Amino acid sequence: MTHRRDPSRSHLPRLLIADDDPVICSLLSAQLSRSFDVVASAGDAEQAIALAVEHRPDIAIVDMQMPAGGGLRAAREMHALTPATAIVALSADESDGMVRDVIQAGAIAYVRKGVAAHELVTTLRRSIEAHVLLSAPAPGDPLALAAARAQL
Amino acid sequence: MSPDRNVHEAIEAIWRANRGEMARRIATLEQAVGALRSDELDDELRARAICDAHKLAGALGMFDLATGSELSRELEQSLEAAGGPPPGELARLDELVLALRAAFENRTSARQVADLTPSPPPTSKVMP
Repeated sequence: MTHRRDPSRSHLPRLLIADDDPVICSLLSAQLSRSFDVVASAGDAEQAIALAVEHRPDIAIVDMQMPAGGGLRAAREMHALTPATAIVALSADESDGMVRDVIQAGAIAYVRKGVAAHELVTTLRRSIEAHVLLSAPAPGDPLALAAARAQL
Repeated sequence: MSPDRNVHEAIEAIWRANRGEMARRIATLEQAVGALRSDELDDELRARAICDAHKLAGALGMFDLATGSELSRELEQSLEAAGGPPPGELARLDELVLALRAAFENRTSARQVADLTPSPPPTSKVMP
């Protein structure tokens, strides 16, 4: 679902939320809308990929246990199709195997469901910064550093 | 109104809009544990209960119900165990659903009391 855009929020990082539970999507949107411009919410992996391609968000928070292929597939395809989007995995499963899989799929960070709102905001902001740095052509490039700072 | 208060009120509005759905999910878990007790838990109900427990575990913590979230997670893990939970674990599952229902009802009634409590009158400001 694409959200109605508010031009006064265009300076905020653009966020896509993907979770098959509409209650979680609403809660995340309420918690994060002060710090991010929530551009769309997706209820399954297929939708998440399509909305990421359509909106090219700065960051996507993706539930790992979603229908239509799951969050791992969504992360993998979003990483390939919209490489500028930082992907943060969201799950209740914190096993080493799961963390390794989400990072291999292209996620830059991992958060546990139910984490406090302020902690989530910090993680998402740092993830955007880290993603910009890691995507830069040369590590330490002053232009990339400036872009990372501008995102904060 | 402060931004934090806005967020708090938005979350309370989401709670009010979805508490029926939360109650339905808890009822599925109660039904699954009841069916387990009478050795009648089929795959369909077990799958629904696992799914609802998973969703409760994710959502309740975000409504400041960390205990409810942990109880749901334990129920999810027990129901997911290969072959279902062992017979000796039945009493524990009963405790978990009872505690989960109580946590949910406590939050619901606490919020209803809060909704009925009149707000203090606005502070008046005397202009010089």
